[in-house]
Amino acid sequence: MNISKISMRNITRQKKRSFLLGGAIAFGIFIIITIGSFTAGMTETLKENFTSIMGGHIYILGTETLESGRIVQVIGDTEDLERAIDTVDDLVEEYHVRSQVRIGEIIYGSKSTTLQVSGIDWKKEQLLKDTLSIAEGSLDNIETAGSLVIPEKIAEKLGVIPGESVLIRMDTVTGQKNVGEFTVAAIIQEQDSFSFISAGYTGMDYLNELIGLEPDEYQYLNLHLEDIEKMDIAAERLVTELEKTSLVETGEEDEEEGKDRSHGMMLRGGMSGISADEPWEGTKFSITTLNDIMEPVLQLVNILNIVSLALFVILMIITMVGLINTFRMVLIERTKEIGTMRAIGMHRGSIRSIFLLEALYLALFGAVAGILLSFSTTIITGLIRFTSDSPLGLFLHNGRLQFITSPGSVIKVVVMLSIMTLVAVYLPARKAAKLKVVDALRAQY
Amino acid sequence: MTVISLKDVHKNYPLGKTEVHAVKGVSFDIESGDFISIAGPSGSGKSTILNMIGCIDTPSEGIVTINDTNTSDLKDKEITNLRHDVLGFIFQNFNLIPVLNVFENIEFPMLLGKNPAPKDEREEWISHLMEEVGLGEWKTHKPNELSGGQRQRVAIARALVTKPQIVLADEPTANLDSETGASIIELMKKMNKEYGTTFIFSTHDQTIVDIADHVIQLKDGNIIENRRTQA
Repeated sequence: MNISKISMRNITRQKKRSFLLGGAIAFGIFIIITIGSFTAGMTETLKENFTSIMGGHIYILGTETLESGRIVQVIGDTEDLERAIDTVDDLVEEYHVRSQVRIGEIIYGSKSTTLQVSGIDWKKEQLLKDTLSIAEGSLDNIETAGSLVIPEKIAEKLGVIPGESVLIRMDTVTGQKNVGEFTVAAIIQEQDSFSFISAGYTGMDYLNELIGLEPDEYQYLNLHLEDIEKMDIAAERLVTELEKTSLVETGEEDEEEGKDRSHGMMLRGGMSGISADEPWEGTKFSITTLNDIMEPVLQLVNILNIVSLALFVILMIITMVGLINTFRMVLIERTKEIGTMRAIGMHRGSIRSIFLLEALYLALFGAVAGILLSFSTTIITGLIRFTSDSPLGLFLHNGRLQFITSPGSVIKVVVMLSIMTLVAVYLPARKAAKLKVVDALRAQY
Repeated sequence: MTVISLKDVHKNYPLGKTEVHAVKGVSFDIESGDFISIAGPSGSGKSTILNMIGCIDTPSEGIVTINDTNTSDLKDKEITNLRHDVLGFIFQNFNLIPVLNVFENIEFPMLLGKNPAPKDEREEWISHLMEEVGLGEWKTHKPNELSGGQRQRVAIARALVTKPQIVLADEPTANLDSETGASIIELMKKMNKEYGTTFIFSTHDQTIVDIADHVIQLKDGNIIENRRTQA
């Protein structure tokens, strides 16, 4: 207790010096925790956005070859799929079925643009409804046939407002052209964050009719899991079961082959991903997970984390050099005091502990300051609403940046800092402990 | 009863390429409860002898024994324990810990032992000592808020707090005016009588030498006089 008290009070002896050193430590901690929170928040936001927009965590796309040799996207043979679904039923919270127009041309008056339109079973997709951020109009009558939800960017481009009618020109599953009339029910804010998707939504029954599917047919079966961590387990089970009877493609295989096909299917859509070289019988399933889609993002996050860690290590090395020099000075300044303490019966280990504890307290004060600074910065930044066409658009959650600071990562950084501090100060501390009492007492200071 | 014994003690220091013979074969005994002055001019070897008795320096030759233990045979941990348990120190420059207040400075040696006394007991004993040295009102003051004489009183209380057998004071009055210096020696004498603690102090001031009941006079590292002033 005595040692601890002396160490703590020693910090205040040279206030300016302690403040500068603590400040440098705080800055390093601030950088790593803020970047860590940002990347964690960004990953989570992207996962949430993808999950809500795509309607789940695992996406099963069906493709069939018609007698004419034409390939259509439809899950026709549901028997095999239902058997496979049984194997993961315990992990699934909700099932969502969807059909999709990959690239439709939306026309209003003389203006037109392209839009991906997903057919949604609105009764079952409450999560999507909850996530959509309505700028104009409402989702009250969304279940009415032909009701359409479009992103703000598309609405602005066309100059359309809720209640007005638009036309969408699209390809049917068999490749024929068709045009459907839709009424804009709502304009949403968030989806234009995913500018590479520009997704609109309408009722699945209505869309099926337009693209040539039966009302109960669908192209995608999306699984929303109870526990996102079990995504790969569930996908593995599905693949194992489906492979017994059907052709199966997975995101992982695609990556191994370097074709990046699964991403293409989900993000760019279409048949381009599935080889049409060899016709097949029955439904060919393509299973993609959120992890497959997130892979490039996760790589970016990893790079950001490595960069921030490198920055932290460099900052810490500079700070540690400062700490070593400071404690060498402290040793000179307090030589006589060390001699006195040793003379009146303090053991070498305790002298060493005073030095180490003093450095540790300084580092921990710096760490606390850095953590508080990081928290305040992330809270304040998190309150700022960014415009939807901001470069950060992809990482926005309801127009705001999301920061997630996990206690584990904070503890890890603090432990790392503590170890580095103790290692840096160990030599001056050891030197102090090994001073000869008589020489220390003769010192000027 | 002999508590300290020096037998043919030499101390040599290297000084550049030469060697300085600070103490040249000194022998004397100190009895328990003595109030001893080691006197002599600057450079006569007073501090060196006190350092060797205080186990903060070792003799180049000869033997220093404390309670029949040869201090040269002890390891650092044993010497540290011996310093803590048997000896108390008063320094010329007071050497208080600047970050601790008066009470904490006095308490400091008590907390270094293996089994510190309970808090209540410590507080009672320290308060008593503070009253004895005349610092009852200065409990929470830091050393830099005290005068030289007050600081030396704190140092005296700190030296006595572990109830040591022997207190060593290296020129305790050197940094004080003569009146304050005399009062410090008086205080030490009072403590010597009250607690039976053996006090050994070094001084070059002849006016306070005779307060001691045993005077060892040094010159150039040799004893030139070893006398008892009282029976």
